[in-house]
Amino acid sequence: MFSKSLFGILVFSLLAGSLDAQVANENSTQEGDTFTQWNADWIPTLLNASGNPLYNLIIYNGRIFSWNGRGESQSIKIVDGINWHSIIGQWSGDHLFAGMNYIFKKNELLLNNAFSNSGYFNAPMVYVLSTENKIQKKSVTFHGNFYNTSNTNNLKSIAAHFNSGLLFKNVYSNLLFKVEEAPLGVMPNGFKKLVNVFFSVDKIVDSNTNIGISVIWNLTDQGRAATTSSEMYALSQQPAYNPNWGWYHNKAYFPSTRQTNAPVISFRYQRKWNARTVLEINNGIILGKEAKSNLEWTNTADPRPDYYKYLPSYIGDTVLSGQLRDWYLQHPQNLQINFDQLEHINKASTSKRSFYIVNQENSALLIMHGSMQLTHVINQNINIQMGVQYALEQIHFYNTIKDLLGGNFFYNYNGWMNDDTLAFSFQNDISQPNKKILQGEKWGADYTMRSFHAKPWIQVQKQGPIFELGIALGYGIEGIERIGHNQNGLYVNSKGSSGFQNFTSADIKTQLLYKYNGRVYLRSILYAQWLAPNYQSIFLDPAINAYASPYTLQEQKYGADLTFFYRAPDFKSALSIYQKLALNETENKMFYHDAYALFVYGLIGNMNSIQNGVEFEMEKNLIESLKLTYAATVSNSYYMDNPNYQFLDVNNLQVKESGLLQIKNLPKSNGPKFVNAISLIYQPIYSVTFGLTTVYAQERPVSLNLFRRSEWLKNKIDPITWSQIQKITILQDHFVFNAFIAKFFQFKSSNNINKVYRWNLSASARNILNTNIPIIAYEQTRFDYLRFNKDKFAIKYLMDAGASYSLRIQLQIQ
Amino acid sequence: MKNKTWLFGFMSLAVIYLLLMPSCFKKSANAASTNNFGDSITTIKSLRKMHNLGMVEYIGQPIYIQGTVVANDEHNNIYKSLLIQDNTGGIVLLLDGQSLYQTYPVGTLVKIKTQNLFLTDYRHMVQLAASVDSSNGTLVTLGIPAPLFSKYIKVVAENEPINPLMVSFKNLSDTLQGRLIQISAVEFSALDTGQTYADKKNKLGLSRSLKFCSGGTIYMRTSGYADFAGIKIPPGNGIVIGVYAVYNNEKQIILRDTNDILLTAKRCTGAAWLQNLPQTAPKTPI
Repeated sequence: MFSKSLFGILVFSLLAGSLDAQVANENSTQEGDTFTQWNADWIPTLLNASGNPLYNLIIYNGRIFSWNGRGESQSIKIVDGINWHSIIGQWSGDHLFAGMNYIFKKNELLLNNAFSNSGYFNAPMVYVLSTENKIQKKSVTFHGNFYNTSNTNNLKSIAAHFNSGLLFKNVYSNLLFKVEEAPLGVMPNGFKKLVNVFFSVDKIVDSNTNIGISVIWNLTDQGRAATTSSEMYALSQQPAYNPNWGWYHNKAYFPSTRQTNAPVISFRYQRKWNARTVLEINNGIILGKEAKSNLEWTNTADPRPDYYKYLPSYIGDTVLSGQLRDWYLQHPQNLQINFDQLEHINKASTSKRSFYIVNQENSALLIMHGSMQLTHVINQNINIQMGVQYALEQIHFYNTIKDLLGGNFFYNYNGWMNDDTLAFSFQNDISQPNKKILQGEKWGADYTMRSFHAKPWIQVQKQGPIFELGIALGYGIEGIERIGHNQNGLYVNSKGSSGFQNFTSADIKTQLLYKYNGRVYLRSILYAQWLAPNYQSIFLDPAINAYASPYTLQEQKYGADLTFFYRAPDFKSALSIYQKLALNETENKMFYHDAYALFVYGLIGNMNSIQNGVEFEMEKNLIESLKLTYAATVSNSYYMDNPNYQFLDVNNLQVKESGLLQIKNLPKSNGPKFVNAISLIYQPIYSVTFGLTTVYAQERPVSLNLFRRSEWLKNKIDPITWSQIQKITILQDHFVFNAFIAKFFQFKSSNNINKVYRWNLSASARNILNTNIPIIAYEQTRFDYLRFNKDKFAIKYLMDAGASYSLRIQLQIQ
Repeated sequence: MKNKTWLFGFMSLAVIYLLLMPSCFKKSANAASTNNFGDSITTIKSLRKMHNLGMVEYIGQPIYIQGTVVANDEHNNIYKSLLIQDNTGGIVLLLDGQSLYQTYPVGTLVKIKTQNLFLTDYRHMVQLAASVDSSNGTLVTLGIPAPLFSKYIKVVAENEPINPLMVSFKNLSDTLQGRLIQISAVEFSALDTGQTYADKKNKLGLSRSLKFCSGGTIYMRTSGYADFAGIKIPPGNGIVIGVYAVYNNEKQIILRDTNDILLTAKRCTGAAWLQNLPQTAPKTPI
């Protein structure tokens, strides 16, 4: 019964959340669709440590709060046993799998470093997915999704999935073709075109050996959403407002896009040596290209409609400010970019020099990841797993001009560089100074990042009637190298190899489960990690130089998690208490500093933070066909002390300022402090399910800009102004209400009784009350260091699009 | 039968797909600006007459002027403003934007809706502003915000020919404010020759004396941010073209770029020459 209700929750989750994820989170795979087989056995054991319902409720029922369960942001995806998480650019590979949700056969969610049969993972949140085919009856399945958000646009996807069943010579195959489209319109992402092709072949070589190959090809072309100030949302009166697009020749034009064309090929090998020993080897390769495009400009006016100087709030004169506000309300087209005007400017000079262009940032990928895992069952109670994860990566980053917007050429200049003192400082390539770049040609930064990573690990599990114990160890080496392909006018080391920067990492974790009786369990998890610094911290700015950051200490993380489980036939609950400690974290950002009137690298080192909290979840059968799930959490995440910071002049890397930030006890996470979620699932008959869910979140802070909270600034201003600047902004409480209905039915063919038609129909509504909820909310890095007006550079948001509705149809013919 | 199965599935989805396909593309948001510019045009001279020095006049009537851009911020010697002239006079239009020259290059004929703007003057130089504030005791003016350019300014034509008005020193008067003028037989004072137009290093604006051979001085005012601020001024005599301006009672000329200076002739002689004599020591003792 319980699994049925969980199935209900999951179905609900799929309906309510998956399509939203497609729209709101362009880079993610659709988690909502990936957990169809999750949590088959709720009973917590070391072999099957499940996630908690709270997390599922929050994530799947809307994905409108951008925080994760237990406050951790880092998550990784394991596809076909391969961890595609990259140390280059924190690239996760998520988008390479976007839209391929129909093919993932095995899904598992691991939270908080819990143990897993799928191997050893050290991230706090892990999704384990597989494309491995199961020998099933031959079938063809059609999927159709139709999604609409009020005030925005329609998103449609159709897919056909063919399962061959067992073919000749013990071969079986899977083929999927999917098309997804959201036409150009007023939606946050602008547009979306996606074609997925998936093909897999598996072969049973003998009774102990399986091999398989999968090809995932995801061709994506889509617009990108952008954050903006609350003032712009008010002026546009659109929760889906996006300042990144504009009008060009009477058509909507999106310069901010993302393209993916990078097939993923993975090979699987599984060998069962004997009844107790299994070897799995998985290797994957990605060879392709990703691209992002943006509007760029140099030596000209800022074209962004939400540039702070163009807003009514910037104008001190209330009459003029009101005039501007009225103008925007009467002429909403002025809230978008006027590309005709940009084209006019590009064509105006006699040489037709482009001042505005659409730049394309390209990443040419050559990535190989793999894993090897050996599982050996020593006896009925003890098993041991060991393996190694390894990766080689090479990503070539370069820019090309996608659109000259009517001009003839663009100078290969670094637009943000001061050219007062150094004649060549603004040249991107001093071997060809003042080069005129034509459409499609390369310009700007041109460099390659290479990395390697190898991590052997071992975990041992012992199960007994009262205790289950597990311990895992991992030790890794990794290195990263930058190779510059051109010499810019500013940094002598911009060209050539930086040499490998090598680091080590280590982890240890233990898990103990105490079974007091058949209903009461107590589980504890302890872990410690020593991690290599992240990529952004190793190099100051790899796009243009190879200098290392002064803050490259090994990051340390320690955590403890204690959970009490109670399980009765019609009532189940869990209560968790946890604490996490993170030491030596860093931050690195480049921004314009108004007081120094130049761009600076802002660096923070040795940040220490702590997070602790309590989570509670319960499930109760109110009546036989009505299930109630309730989950609540209290969490507190804050900085433990005042870390060091520096501002370096980007022109010469001279230290302009250094000292301590005043952030002790300020919140680190921007997740809500309190969350309450309730889900009601009503299933009067097996084939019909209704569901309602509410999520209520309180005390969610806006993500902080740490740099402005500095000792330097504190000493510059009076205590009242300082307290206002240091004070955090708490967002309004969020309340979301979702609902769904699902119907399943099947019938047999009148001509062929072996042929079965199975229909799944569902309709869902998310955020029915149209609550105004920021998906993202953060303080800008730029700050008014001259007059210390904290509102001059306003908080930026990405708002949830509001009430949305989806219809899903699935037909399987078997 | 197999084909029928596939067909059935695809057809079902295709029908639903088509039914739900219409998008909510909001064409209305692309409606062209409906801002109307009136037909009747007032001369800049008439507009200037509405202003009393030291005062601020709010223009409540729908008054339109039309003129040609004679100078802008292309070489950073002029900041956040355009200088516009018609056959009757010139005026400064304050605009709160950057790289104005790209939208309003020299030679652009523009029509300006002056309603809701203010006539003010800065040290007697008459200007049109969008906002004034004297609450701190001094008059602070603000140009038209960039998003409102299209509300107040309409480009009528481009590449209009501009002929500078040739004037002599004795003809320099406030009626020439904001107009492109050409002065002849002038040279920089001996003290200023060899100096730069302005202090580029410290971003400080400077005035250099430009002497008429016939007598009289006009000051060339150059911003420290001007592209040519660090260039040395030429020692010769000849023609200078620029926009006439005033700073209280001081007569000024504002250079658009160094192409407007043709000081290649020998320095002038006579009384004016004596006044302008370079103060260098003779090569041999007398």
